[in-house]
Amino acid sequence: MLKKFLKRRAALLLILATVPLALAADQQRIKDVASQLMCICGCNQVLGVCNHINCPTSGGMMAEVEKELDSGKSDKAVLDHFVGKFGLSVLSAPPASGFNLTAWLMPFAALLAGAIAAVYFLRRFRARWVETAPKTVVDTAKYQRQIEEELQKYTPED
Amino acid sequence: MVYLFCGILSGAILAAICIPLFRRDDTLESTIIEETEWDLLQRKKDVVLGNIQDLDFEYKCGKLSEEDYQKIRGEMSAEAAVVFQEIDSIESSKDLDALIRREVSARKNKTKTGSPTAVCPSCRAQNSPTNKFCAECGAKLKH
Amino acid sequence: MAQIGQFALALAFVVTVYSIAASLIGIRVKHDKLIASGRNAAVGTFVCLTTAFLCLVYLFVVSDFSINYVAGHSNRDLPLYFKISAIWGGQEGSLLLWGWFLTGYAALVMIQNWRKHTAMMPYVTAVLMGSSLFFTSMHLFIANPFNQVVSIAPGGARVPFVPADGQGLNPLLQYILNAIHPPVMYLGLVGFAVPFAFAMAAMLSRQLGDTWIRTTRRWTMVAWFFLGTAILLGGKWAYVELGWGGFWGWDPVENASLMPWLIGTAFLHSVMVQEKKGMLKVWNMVLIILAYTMCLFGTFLTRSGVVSSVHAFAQSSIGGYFAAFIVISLSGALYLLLDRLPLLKSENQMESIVSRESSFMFNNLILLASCFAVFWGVMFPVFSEWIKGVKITVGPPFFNRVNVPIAIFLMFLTGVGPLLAWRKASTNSLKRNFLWPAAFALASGIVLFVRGIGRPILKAPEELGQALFQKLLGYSFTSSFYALLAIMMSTFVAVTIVREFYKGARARSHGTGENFIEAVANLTLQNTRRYGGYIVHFGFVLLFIGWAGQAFTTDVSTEAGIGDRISIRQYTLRVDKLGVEDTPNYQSMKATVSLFEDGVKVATMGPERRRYKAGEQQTTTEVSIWSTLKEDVYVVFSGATADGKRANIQVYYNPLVMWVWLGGIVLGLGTLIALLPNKKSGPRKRPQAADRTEEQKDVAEKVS
Repeated sequence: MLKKFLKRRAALLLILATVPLALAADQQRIKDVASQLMCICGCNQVLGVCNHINCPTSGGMMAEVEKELDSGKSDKAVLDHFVGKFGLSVLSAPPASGFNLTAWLMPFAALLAGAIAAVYFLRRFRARWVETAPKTVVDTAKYQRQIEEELQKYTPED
Repeated sequence: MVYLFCGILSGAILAAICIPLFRRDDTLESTIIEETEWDLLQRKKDVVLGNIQDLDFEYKCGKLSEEDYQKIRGEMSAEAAVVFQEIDSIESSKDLDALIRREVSARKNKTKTGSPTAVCPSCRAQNSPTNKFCAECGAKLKH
Repeated sequence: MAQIGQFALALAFVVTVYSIAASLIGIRVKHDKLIASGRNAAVGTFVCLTTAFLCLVYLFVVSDFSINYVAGHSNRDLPLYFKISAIWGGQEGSLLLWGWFLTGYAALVMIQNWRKHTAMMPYVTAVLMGSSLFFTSMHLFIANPFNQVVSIAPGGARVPFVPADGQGLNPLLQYILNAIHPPVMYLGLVGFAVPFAFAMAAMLSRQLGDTWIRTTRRWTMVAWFFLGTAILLGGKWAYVELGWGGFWGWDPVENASLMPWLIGTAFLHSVMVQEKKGMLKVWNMVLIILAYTMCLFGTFLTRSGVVSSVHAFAQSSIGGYFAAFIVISLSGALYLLLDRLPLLKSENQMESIVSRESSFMFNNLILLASCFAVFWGVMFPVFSEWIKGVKITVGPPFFNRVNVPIAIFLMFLTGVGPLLAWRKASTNSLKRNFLWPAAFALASGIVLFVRGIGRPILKAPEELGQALFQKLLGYSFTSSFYALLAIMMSTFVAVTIVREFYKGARARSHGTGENFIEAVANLTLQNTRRYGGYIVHFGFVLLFIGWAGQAFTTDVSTEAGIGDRISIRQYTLRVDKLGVEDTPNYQSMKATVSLFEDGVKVATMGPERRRYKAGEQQTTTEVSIWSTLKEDVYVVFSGATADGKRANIQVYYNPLVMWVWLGGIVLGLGTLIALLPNKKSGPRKRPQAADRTEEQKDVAEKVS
C-alpha cells in the first residue's frame, strides 16, 4: 500500500520537475522570501500563510516582495529592504548574528551541556557498579531454587 | 427558594465535615501507616523477580545472545538472592508474628502520642490503653 | 441562579481553607478525625464548585444577559451546544472550569487512594487544596463569572442593566472541535497537579519508597493522555478553521501546551528506570515539579499577554497572579526537594553505557532539550526586549530549524531503546536486533532518494558558485532532506515495533499453544504498559510520516469565475456556483467547486466565507477539505470580487496530513491500553504447563 503510494508520489514529483522551470522558480522564490517575513497586521502569522480575511497589509507586502525580486535584488537584499522599513521584528526568525546568535546557539548549547552531564553521570553510575559488584557475596545457589519457584508464581502487578 | 438551596448545600457540607470529628469509636480508617523496611523489601523482591521474568522473556524472544543472557541472569539471581537473604534474616531473627504485633502496637502508639500506654505486668510490653489483655503474652492488664 | 453560584463559590473558598487547615493541623497533632474531616472538606469543595458550574451552565442555557460574563460571550441565536461551550469561551469561565476539574481530580484521588497510602494522603489533600485555594480565590475576587452587568447612572450610581442581546461567541470558537478542545486541554494541564501533589506528599511524609511513584505514574499518564489529545484537537482545529493550510504554527499558545507534554513524556520514560533500578529518584522529582510548573507557565503565557499570539482572545490582567503562584509553587517545591535530598539517595549504578537505562537517559536529555528549545524560542523576544531593547520575532522558521533535527534524533532513540537490553547489550545481541530494522530503514531511504525525495535543490543561482562543503551544508538543511531522514527513522521504528510484537507473540505461543492472534492479544493485555507503549510509539511513527509530508506542500491562489479551472498536481478544480446562504447566526457566501482527479470527478466541495451577526460581525472562512490517505486538497474561499462574479480561491495540496490524525488516534488508543490494569495470567493448559516446567528446569540448569 505504502510502496504503491510512494511510487505514485515519486512519479508526480518527476512530472513536476518538467514543468516550465523559470516560472516555478520565481513563485518558489517569492514563497521562500515570504516565509521569512512576518505579516505586520498583528495577526502574528508568517507573511506566506497570513490569509485572514480583509488583512490590511499582507496583500501589499506580498506585492512588494514580488516587485523587489523582479527588480533583480537577491533574497537577502529584499529581506534587508523590509528590515529597513519595518524593523527587525518583521523577520520571522532572528538573524544569526550578534546578540541574536544566542537565540540559535542556546538550544544546542543546552543540549551539549546536558549531554556532558548525562555522560558524566553515566560514568559515575558505572564506576559505582564496578565498585559495589564484588561486595555482594551471597550464597546464590542456596536461594536459586526459591527464586525459580517464586518466579513461577510471580505475575507482574501493573 | 435560593436561600433554601444555599441552606441545604451548606448544611450537607457542614455535615460531611463534622461527621468524622464526632465519630465515637476510632476506626482504623485513617490511621497513619508508614512504609516499613519489611514492606520495602517485599516490593524490592517483586521488582527483582519482575526483572528476571522480563529478561527470560526477552531471551525467549531472541533479543539477547546466549552469552549476555547467562551473564545478566546470573547477576540478577545474585541480586534476588541478596533480597531473599535479607527477608530471611528478618524472619529468622524475630518471630514474624511478634514482629507484626510490635509493628501494630507501635503504629497505634505513634498515632496517639501523649496518650498513656498500659505496661504489661508480666512481660513489660507496651500495650494500647484500650487493650484488656496484653498483646504480647496475653496476661490481663490492670487499668 | 447567579446568587446560588455566588454562594457556592464563597462556600468553596471557606471549605478549601478549612480543608487545608484541618489536614495540616491534623498531621501536626496526629489527629485522625481532623484529617478525615479535612478530606471530606476537600470532596465538599468539589460539590460546591460543581454547583457553581451548573449554575453557570443554566445561566448560559437560558441566556441570562444580566450576567456580565454571559452577555459578553453568548447571544440568543447561538445553537444550544455552542451556548454551553461558550462557558469556556472567556477567562472567568475557563478559570472556573479549571478550578472545577482540579477539585474533581482531588475528590477522585481521595476516594481512590485514601485507604492505600494513609501516611501520604493528608499531605496530598493539603497540596491539592493549596492549588485549589488559588483558583477559588481567583473565582471569587478576581474573575468572578457571576458578576452582573451594570451601567453607571448619571449620579454615579451603579445600576443593574440587562442588554437586549449578548455580544456573541468568538466565531473562531464556533467549531465543534474547539468546543471540546479547551476542556480536554484543562483536564491535561490540571491533571499534572495530581502527580505534583503526590510527589510533594511523598517528600513531606518522607515515604519515598515506590508507592507514590506507582500512583504518580498512572496519574501522569492520564494527564499526558488528555494533554496530547488536546494538542492534536487544537491542531485539527487550526487546520480546518484557521484556513492557512497547516496544523501546527509554533504559536506561543501551542508551545505552552507542548512544553509540559514533552516533560511528561520524559517522566513517563525515566520513571521506568526508577521502578526497575531504583535510580534517578531526584531527577524524577525534578521532572514532576517542572511538568506542573510548565502547566502553570503555559496558562500564564496564554493569559498574561507577555508574548503575542493568535490566541489574543484569551489575554487579560490575571497574568500577575499566575506569575506569583508559579513562583510560590516552584520555590516551595524546590526547597522541599533540597531539604529531602539525603532521603532520595538511590542505588545509582549502571553496568554499561550501551543499555536500556542509558538510552532512557538520552531520551530524557533529548526531550528536555527540545522543551528548552521551545521555551527559549518563546521567551527570546522578551529577553531581547529587556536586554537590547530591540523587538524581534521568533517564528516558525526558528522552531522548525531547531526542533526538527532534535525530533529526528528522538525518533532514532525511540527505535533504539527497545532493542537494547536492560543492564548491558553486547555487540552480538546488538547485531541481531539492529540488522533488520536498519536494513529496512536504509532500503526505504534508498527507494525514496532514487524516486527524487530528499534530492538537493539549488534554490538560487548564486548557490551554484559555492564551495562543496557549503553546498552539502545547505543541502542537509533542506526540508526535503529532513523529510527523507524522518521517513527513514519512522521505518526503522515501525520495523522494531512490529518485530517486538511478532517475537513476543511467537515466544508466547510456544509456551502456551495459543494461535498467533491470541498470543498478540494476551501479550498486550498481560503487560499493558509495555505493549501499550509500543502502540503509542507506532502512533508517533504515523504522526511523524504525516509531518514529513509537510515538506512537500504546494499551493495555488487565483481569482476564478464560474467555469474556470484551477489545477494543482494531478487535481483540477472547477468553480460551478457562487451562492449566498442565510442562517440566524451567520450569513455565508459559498463557492461550489468540483474536484477532478486525473480528469475524473471525485468530489464536490463547498468552501464558505461567513459573517457572524452578533457582536462585531466577525468574518471567518470555512475551508473545504478533500482528504485521502495520500494527500489533502484544501480549498479556501477568501471572498468574491466587488462585482460578485469572480471568487478568490486558494488551493493547498497537503500530502499525508491524514496520517497525523490517524497517528493521533493510534496514540490515544495505545495510551488507553497502557492505562488498563494487567490481566492476570489464567490457568494454563496442562500439556503446555509440563512443557514450561521442563523449560524452566532447563533454564535453571543453565544458570547453575
